[in-house]
Amino acid sequence: MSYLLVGLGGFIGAILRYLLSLQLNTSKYWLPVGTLLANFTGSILFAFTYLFYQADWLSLWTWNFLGVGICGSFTTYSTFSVEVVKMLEQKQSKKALLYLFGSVAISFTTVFTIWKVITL
Amino acid sequence: MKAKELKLFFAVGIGGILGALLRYIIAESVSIISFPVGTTIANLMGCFVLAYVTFQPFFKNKLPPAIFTAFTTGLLGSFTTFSTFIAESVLLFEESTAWLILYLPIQILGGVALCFIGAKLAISKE
Repeated sequence: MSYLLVGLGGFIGAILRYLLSLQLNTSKYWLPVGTLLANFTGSILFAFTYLFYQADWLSLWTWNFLGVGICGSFTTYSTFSVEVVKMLEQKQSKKALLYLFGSVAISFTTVFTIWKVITL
Repeated sequence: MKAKELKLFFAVGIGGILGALLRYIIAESVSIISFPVGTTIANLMGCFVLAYVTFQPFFKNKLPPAIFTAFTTGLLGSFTTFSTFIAESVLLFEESTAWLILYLPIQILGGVALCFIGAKLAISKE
């Protein structure tokens, strides 16, 4: 059952990320906003899902579907890193560093704050 | 929506199923260790493979677009994960700062380094 739920979540998460990337990862924007938005919002949803699962408010099945499946697949690390390397190849090192460390810093700080507030 | 676009969405979804399952299987099999090894393996492997496939024109030119997108955006995109990495970083930080100082560079610099290696290998094969 876990495999089925993780797989189904993966199906949904990947398609949602693809939709965002088609709309927002365009040259119209300075940064790949689609990936950035997916990673940021997905990290927040993942944190809530994990905390609620740990508090026994969510079942293992919901965790597998929503956390591991949807959030896990909606957010991506490979595309993110390749985007950074592409910026570096195009000699846009400032942008690459800002995108790389900015993405991690903003998501980490937000999730850390949520964690602290909820587990207070 | 055109049939061709719908086909791409479906392809990404199928890739997403496989990527999520692979990540889950790896995470389950290494979960005996408290350090997040599963996410590290998935992310670093995924970075290397995606960079190789992206920078090697053979794949994009020879594979049908649906298969290419299913493998890159779908499978590799879902196999690697950002949300789990962030949550694990926060959890490690709660335990000890030393773990976080170890984990962040492995993921951040490791990911970029493996992308670079993947890209260089792909370009040299051209």
